Amino acid sequence: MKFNALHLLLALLPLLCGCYKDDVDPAKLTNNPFDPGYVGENVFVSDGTYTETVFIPGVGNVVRQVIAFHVRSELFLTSGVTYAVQVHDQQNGQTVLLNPDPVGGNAFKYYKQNLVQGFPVCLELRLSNNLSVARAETICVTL
Amino acid sequence: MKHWRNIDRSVVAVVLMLATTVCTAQATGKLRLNMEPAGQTEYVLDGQYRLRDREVTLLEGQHRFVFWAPERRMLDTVLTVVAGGTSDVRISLRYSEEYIQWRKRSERYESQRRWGLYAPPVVAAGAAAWMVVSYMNYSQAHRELEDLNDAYAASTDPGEIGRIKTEEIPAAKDDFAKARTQTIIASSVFVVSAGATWYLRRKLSSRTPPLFEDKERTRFEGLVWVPSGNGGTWMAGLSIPLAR
Repeated sequence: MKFNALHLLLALLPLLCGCYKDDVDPAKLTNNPFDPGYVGENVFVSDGTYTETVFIPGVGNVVRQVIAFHVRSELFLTSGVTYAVQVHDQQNGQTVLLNPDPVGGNAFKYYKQNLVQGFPVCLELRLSNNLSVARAETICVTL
Repeated sequence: MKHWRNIDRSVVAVVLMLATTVCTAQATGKLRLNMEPAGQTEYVLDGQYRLRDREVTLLEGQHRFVFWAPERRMLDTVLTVVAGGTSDVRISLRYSEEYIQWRKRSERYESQRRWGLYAPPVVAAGAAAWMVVSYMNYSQAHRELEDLNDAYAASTDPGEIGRIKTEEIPAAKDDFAKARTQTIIASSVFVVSAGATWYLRRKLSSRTPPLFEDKERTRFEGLVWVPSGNGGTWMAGLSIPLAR
């Protein structure tokens, strides 16, 4: 009886130590679009570019280029996410932070005051939250 | 004249006889023996009488005493009895070599038995407690690792995600590895100590305490024949000093 108890203890040892596995590998954690090291499908999709005329009091009617794009929120690992998009205009070097337009959605619009016609305009886009940014993706549109 | 000569001879003969009687009658003396250990010491007097008396009256002169007590060494000595007086003799018997060796063996046996019976269970109990605590830490470390995995998926803060991947998860993995190692060590110590407990209890239960063989007693009892109610037996001892 005592001998069996000893065997039971010996059998318990590997059970105790083998029941938990360290299967978390930081190098393999790449499926979150907000991760700077995200590896996966493109998050940003271009919706094209067009011009629009707006009336600015004191100035009058102004024509500007609109570059529209949206974020594939279905790639997010959680729902109900709020975020912004950092846009770096490679044509003029400016960087701005955009909020969704309309608010709460996944569509964004970047406005260029100087129209660029016949040439592609490339934007470097990154998801952003708390002043930090995720992986960069580039979209190019031509007016 | 011849008659007086015969009377003189008779008187001389009587005087000589008296003188001889006075000279040959031996006086006695007392010996008061203060023996240590008291109440247990026996002695053989002149190779004939086995006694325990504290006071003996003997003829004057030398007498051979062999003292002995249980667990003690025999003392073979000659005491001189002074006529008409009482002599106090202090006898202190030393422990026999067999007894000293037996005491050492007994103490060693008791010490081994005490350590063998009580130390392994205490170690096993400590190891069991350590194993439980280690296992709880191990479980907690695993839970923290899983929580960080979930935090990675739930986070929408790129800065926080970078911190989780480069700092928090490696630290948690390190803690997890340490907790697992500690659990393995604690479990091993517990199994070894539990095994030692079982083994020593089994081994010690079959061991018998050392027996004391009082060889001095055998030698002492071989010195004199003591008849019993059914007769008596002769006992003799022989020792061969092989070491010499």
